[in-house]
Amino acid sequence: MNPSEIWRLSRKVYREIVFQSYFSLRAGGTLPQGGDAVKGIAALVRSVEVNSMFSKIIMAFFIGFMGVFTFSSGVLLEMDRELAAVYGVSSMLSIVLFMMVFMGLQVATSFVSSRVAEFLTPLPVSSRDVSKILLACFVRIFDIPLIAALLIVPLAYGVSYCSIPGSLTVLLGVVITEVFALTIAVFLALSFYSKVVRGGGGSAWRMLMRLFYMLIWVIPMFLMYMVTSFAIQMVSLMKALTQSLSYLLILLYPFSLGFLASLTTFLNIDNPGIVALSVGSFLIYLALAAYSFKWLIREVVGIGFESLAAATRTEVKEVSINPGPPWLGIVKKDLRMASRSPSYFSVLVMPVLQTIILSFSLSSLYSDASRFSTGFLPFPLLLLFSTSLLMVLLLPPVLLNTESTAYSYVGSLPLRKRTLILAKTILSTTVYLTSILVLVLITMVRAPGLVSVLALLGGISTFSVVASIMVETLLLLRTFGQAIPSGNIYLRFHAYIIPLIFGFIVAAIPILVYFIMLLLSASSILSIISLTVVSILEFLMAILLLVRKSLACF
Amino acid sequence: MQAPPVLVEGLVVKYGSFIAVDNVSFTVGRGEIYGLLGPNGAGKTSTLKVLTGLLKPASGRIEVFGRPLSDEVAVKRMMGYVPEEVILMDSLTPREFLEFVASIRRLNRDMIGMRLEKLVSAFQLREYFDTPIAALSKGNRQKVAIVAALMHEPQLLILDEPLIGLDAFSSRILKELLTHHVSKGGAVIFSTHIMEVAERLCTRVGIINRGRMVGEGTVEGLRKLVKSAEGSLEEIFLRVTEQESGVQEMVKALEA
Repeated sequence: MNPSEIWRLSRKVYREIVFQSYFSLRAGGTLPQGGDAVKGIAALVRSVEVNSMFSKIIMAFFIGFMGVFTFSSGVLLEMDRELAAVYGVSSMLSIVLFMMVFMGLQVATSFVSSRVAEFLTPLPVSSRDVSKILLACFVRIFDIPLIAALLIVPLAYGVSYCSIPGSLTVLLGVVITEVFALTIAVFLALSFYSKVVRGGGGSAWRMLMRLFYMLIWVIPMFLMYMVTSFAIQMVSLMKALTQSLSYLLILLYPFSLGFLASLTTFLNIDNPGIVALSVGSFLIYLALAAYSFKWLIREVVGIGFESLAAATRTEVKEVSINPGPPWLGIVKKDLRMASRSPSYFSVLVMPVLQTIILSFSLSSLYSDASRFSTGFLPFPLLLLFSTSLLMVLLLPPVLLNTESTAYSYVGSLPLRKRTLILAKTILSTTVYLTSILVLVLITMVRAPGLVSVLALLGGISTFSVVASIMVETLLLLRTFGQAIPSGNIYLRFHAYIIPLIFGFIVAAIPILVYFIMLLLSASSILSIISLTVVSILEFLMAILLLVRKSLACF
Repeated sequence: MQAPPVLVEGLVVKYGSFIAVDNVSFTVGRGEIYGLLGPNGAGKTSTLKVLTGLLKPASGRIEVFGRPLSDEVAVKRMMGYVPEEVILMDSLTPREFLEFVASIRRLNRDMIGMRLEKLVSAFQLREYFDTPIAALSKGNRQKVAIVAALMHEPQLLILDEPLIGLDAFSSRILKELLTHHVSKGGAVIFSTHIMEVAERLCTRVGIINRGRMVGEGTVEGLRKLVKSAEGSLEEIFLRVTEQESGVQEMVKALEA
């Protein structure tokens, strides 16, 4: 089979993998059926293709933007040029690494778990060609961002430092970084699939193992979140690090590549020790990248021929189950599903992790806390509190989506919509309360004087948060019925936007009232009373809405 | 007089402009196993999905034990369902999935303990009880769905191609369970392509073709209808669905 034929065939396989990653095709329950099914499914496939292309273009654009932005940032311009090159290249390579890993994880997991080779191997295609098709398919997952990073980062560096050797060194650095990123993505996807998906329920040890792998899986997402949010802070951080540990850092990726880029740009060989260390560590990383590349190719082409989903057979002694009330059954099921689905898990823990990251990274958060010890919150802290509150509203669409994936079975159960809304509200509110608790604990350490007012605001707002989650869930169920759109929430934002806006409005009104009262009366007591009244009113109205509306089965 | 477990009158199911089920009527009585037969795409699954509340009919009167389908929760509590394509929650284990189903059905541990134990042993699921459903074979997934449908001892069982994918042992167990279920006054409605099973198991059968009920009654009654004293259910089926001559022509065409 010639390469163009392999590339053409790989497109079909790639489309299938992307479709599975977005819509869990096997779940089928929400796919259109009957007369207009062909049109409906064709539209879904088109939408998935557009979404995946869109996310790749966004990623490529972001890499390009960060490349230009990092090399021309104010922090670097104020520095010594040689050091600026080290910091800039190191930061940029970290950004490329985390973004590639982040982007690759979801699709790489689908690639690993999909049984694409199962329909390719019975065809009259040699196993060598099947391997080539799988490899081409894997390249398609990353094509645009890989090319964008290879072109834009060296070009941006070359333009900023007017150096062709430096630019070529950066190009080599990007190649090494891309190999590392793809290796990490595939390694995590393989580990996830073999240890998390195949690892059954049962013992507490298995549960702990699942949690551990889930955290490993989720960490790159949050590192990427930090990298994109704090690119400039990262440059400053690296500057601080290199000042204290410069010799040691020459040996560490990505600093070693940064030092080498600086050396080849400015041809400064005054310190032969640094030159030797830099070149030596570069050669080690090059060898490591070559080894990783070989491993990557072997794993990718081998995926189709190994059965990852072989069931483990262990006879259980007892088969008892512990059913509880329906709402608890749904909550337990959701938590169990989250413990085996990284994307679901990350959405559940995002409000809490975001609170932790922002509380520690925003220097202005507690900067003038001492002035606010009499029942007021500093504005940045109030903003962070409001963000934590609003972030929770992203949970209901994801939580509801889990029901629609097996609707062809769940739909036959005597499950009331009211029970479903109650369960999703309890879970979302628990996430909200956890993020507020974390914020209160951090504040307890950093600005103890603000704890009582923050806890009071968080506690009172629980009423409006519950109301907003109920309203949003109710609207989502009314809008979509059982067919809650699957896939990445951010890529299908347009589908959720109306219920989300309503939820945001319900959650934001009490905070706005509190804020306006604070500005008008300058009385913290009056503001908190207003917040309490509005929140409780909203809560009662949401309860009334839920009780009065005739809600049949899900 | 007691209401029949299933009463369907003038059922119409539409997908857009396409009519999948066209004015279908039938009843299933207590102690009956009713087989719904028909070629692929005839409308069997659509009919069963309406009964389970998964599909909304365009028109028709449907009652389960005298209750209209609009009384969804009460109706769904009385039935157990095994879908044609067993799509469960892949990331859960059978234990976790059954616990979820039992919670929604408001069952308690003592109520189902012994029954669950027996069902899991009968369908040889012990080995896979703590294995994620994603890693199970089609047959084992089918067994999990069957256990979930039987766990609460429903009065009405709705099974869509329940024997596909099952091994001989489990298939036999299921058939025996169905017979036992109706002997206690329960009712079963199931669709199947396996004519021998329908012939041996069903009290009555309904044959659907292109959305319409083209024959209904006992196998004996259908034999009289097609004027064939010896014909098997397969022959009756091919005759009432007007596919008998088509089969011969197709075989000749393929051989040529």
